[in-house]
Amino acid sequence: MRPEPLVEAPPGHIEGTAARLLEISDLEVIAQTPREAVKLLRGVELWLDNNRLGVVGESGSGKSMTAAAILGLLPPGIRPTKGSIRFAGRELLGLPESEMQSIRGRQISIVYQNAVTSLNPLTSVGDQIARVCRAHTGVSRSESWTRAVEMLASLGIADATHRARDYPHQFSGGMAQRVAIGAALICGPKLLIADEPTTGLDATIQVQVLDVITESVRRTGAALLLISHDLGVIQATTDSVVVLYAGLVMEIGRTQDVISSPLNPYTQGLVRSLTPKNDGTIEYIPGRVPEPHTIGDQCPFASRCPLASERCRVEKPLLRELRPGQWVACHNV
Amino acid sequence: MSTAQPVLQIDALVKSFSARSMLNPLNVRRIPAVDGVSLSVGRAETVAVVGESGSGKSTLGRLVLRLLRPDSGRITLVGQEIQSLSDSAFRPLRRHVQMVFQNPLMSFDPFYTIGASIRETMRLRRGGGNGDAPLAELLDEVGLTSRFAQLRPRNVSGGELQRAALARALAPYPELVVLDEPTSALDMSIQGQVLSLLRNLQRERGLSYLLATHDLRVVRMVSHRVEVMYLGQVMETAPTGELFAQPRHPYTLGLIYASDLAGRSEASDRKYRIRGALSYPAAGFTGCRLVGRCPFAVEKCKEPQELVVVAPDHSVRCWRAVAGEISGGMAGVSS
Amino acid sequence: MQADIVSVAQLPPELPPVRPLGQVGQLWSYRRQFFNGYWLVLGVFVLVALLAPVLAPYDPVRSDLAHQLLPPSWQHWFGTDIYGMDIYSRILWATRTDFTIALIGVLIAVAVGVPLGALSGYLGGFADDALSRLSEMIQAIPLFLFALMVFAALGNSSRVLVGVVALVNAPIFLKLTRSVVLPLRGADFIAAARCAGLSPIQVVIRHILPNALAPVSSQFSISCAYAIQITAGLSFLGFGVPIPYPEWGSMIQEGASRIIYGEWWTSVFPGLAVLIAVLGFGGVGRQIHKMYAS
Repeated sequence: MRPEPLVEAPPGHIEGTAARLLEISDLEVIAQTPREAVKLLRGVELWLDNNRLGVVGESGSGKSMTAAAILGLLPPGIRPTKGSIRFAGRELLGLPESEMQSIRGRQISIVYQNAVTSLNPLTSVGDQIARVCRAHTGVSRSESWTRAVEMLASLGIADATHRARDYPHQFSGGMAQRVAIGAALICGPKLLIADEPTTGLDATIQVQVLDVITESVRRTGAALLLISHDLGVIQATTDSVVVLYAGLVMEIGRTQDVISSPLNPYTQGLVRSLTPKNDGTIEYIPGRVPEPHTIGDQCPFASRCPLASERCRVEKPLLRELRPGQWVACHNV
Repeated sequence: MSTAQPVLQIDALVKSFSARSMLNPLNVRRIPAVDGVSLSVGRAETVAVVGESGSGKSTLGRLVLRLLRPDSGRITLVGQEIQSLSDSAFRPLRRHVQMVFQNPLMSFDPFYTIGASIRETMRLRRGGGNGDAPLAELLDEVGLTSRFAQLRPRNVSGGELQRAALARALAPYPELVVLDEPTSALDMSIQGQVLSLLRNLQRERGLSYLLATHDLRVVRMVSHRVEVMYLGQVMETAPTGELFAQPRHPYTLGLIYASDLAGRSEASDRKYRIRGALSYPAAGFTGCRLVGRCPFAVEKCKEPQELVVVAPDHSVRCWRAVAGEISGGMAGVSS
Repeated sequence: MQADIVSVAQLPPELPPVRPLGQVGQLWSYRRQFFNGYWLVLGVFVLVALLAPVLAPYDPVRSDLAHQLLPPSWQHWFGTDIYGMDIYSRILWATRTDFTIALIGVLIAVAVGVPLGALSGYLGGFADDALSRLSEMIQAIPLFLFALMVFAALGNSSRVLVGVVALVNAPIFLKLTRSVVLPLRGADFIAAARCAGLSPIQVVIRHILPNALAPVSSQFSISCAYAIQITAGLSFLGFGVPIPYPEWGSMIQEGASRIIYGEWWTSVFPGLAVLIAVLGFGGVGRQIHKMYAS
């Protein structure tokens, strides 16, 4: 028995121009230190309509920076210098804070990695969800509470009426993450960003939480941007995927395609490390991710790439559509 | 494995923690972290202890290193019983067993260089020898140049730092290395580096490993034998190949199912998925601790369950598995 | 070298730069960022304290009743007090007194508080409870009441004053060190040190105390500021340093009764000295904190 959707699902496509739900073009983000400006994102491109997009990257890839940039939540000293982030046709970079506040939680929401610490420890979970609801809609206290309880129930929290009065520390990791998802979805956002939502959770709980995310996104009609370092999670939960390395997009395409036949050498290495060989050996990419300030205007993977050529060390590769629906940034494929 | 004396032998080891409720200090709950675990690790053998949080696998490792004292049971290391030794009595034995921790950045003191930290453990060597040359040799064995000795932990990447941690663990030429989630904090594309290194070192030095992990790929790559733990008890134990080919216990099935996210189906979901969340059993409950989460649980499961041998070297703690009521063939779940 | 591991020659060239400087060397390279006016002020005070005998134009304790209560002039830069003693010279000499009492008092507080705090945090249990309650008891008593009790019991001298300063600051260092040590207890590198065979005492000395260095050194400076205030305050009340030894607090007290007569210089200059010294220590303490935070 499927519960009624809590809020109206947004229209499946945008009327008029074929504007994508989220479009990031050539985004550059730098960290300003007294001595120099270090590029953290060096030209990120991605787009998503009303579907589920995964962003996969390892340490230093810039995936969390991208999410922060979308929401205008970059830490002090870090700012975008170039490029654009368009959401439903509207440019987000440079928007005043007051307008960003009306977008966060209402149009674009985010859940973070460790739910127990991303929730306020001093108020009940029901209250936290209700507050988000009231902040963006004009409903009364009692109405927002009712909606919060309904949301918790639809996310699989048993005895929601009573549990809504409990505090975050009384929930286990998986349950707390459901609460965070509830707070994110209560206003029916068009886009839900999930930044490593299951990292650190037990495998058996991870399955549950991923299912909750998939199901609730489907139910409310929101699009999903799922950030993870785990290609297995991406494979199970997304339709398309963006592969990030050291602040640059290496490959974009349908998840199935990218994982079954990756074209970029980094993606190939990453995919190979996902599945052990027959004798159980796990493959790896030799070397280490370079420090951001040592990468100039070149392909950041050049130092570890088996196909690296002179051109790779001096020129940044651009995304090209090598196959229908699959874009790759590499000089040598 | 060989019939020679095992490097590590654990018999009926028990360790509980008491959790005191802040609101009611008189309300003390005993949480059994390790509850009657027995296992052995032979020479040049890797035994993987698999479990999620609360399984007791980390506690087990710390008990072997004597960072914790067991409540009861016996730990025999290279032929000597160590569970009731005092700190100073155990010190000369510390060179036989070392540990590699989960988060490399937190396992090195930020105040010292990597070289200084490794030297600290080198002091356990017979005859000392913590000079520059032996240090360079150690670093070389794990694939790091001698430059790393002068670096501080924060200037080194995760994978390299974990290799340095391995060098530190190898410094006194131990027979046994306990590894607590050695690759979980590392990027996926370099986990293989550390695992490959572990395998090679085992081949060359005849090292034994007690490896605590939740990652089944790691288990498959480096371990000879697996002990699956849940809430302090061993649920299933078997050689690695056998465990993945013929998993018997519902929890093992659930873990294997959860590790292959993309390969799930409605059918396998209903059959294998472990429900709910971890919860400690109420005082006085002596039945199977998976009751409440297990898709195969029935009334009889509330009776105490024992480890029963079902195949050579393969034991399960589940009466339904022993009775053959849990289907072994994992069609739809990758093996 | 392992066959599977990429050989050293193939490793990427971007290994992080080796920093051959030790801790002191790193401090030196930070100098422009963190050393500023506050350090200068303190430096001046220290110099004054050291060179008072040379710098003071007059004997600070020689009374000259013919020249009482003279306003500031070229002969007496800060004027003279009720006993005809030159205030400027007295302030210079008083720098010695106040700084010595404050520094020694805080040093004792550190020597007692830090090790006890480290042990308290590391050992936990009964020792921790006992030491924590003891420090709280000391901190709970209002300062001047506490000082009164101590002076009543042990007599009125500058030595006892040093003791009071030490006793009042020791709990601060104990609690501070303890709070730094508590989260370190479970740190993996502490466990690694235990695995290397270090005894608990060795672990505390080699691993816990160095990591407590940062907050303790910052607090040291702040405590000195506090100590100056205690010293001056208690001397103002007549405790500690006996008249006529030059001390800022007692100087302020002597001059307090003269203010209504318009003879402001007797209190204001020593008061300013206290103010600037306290600000100097406080500012330096903050700078040290910033230095370690980066």
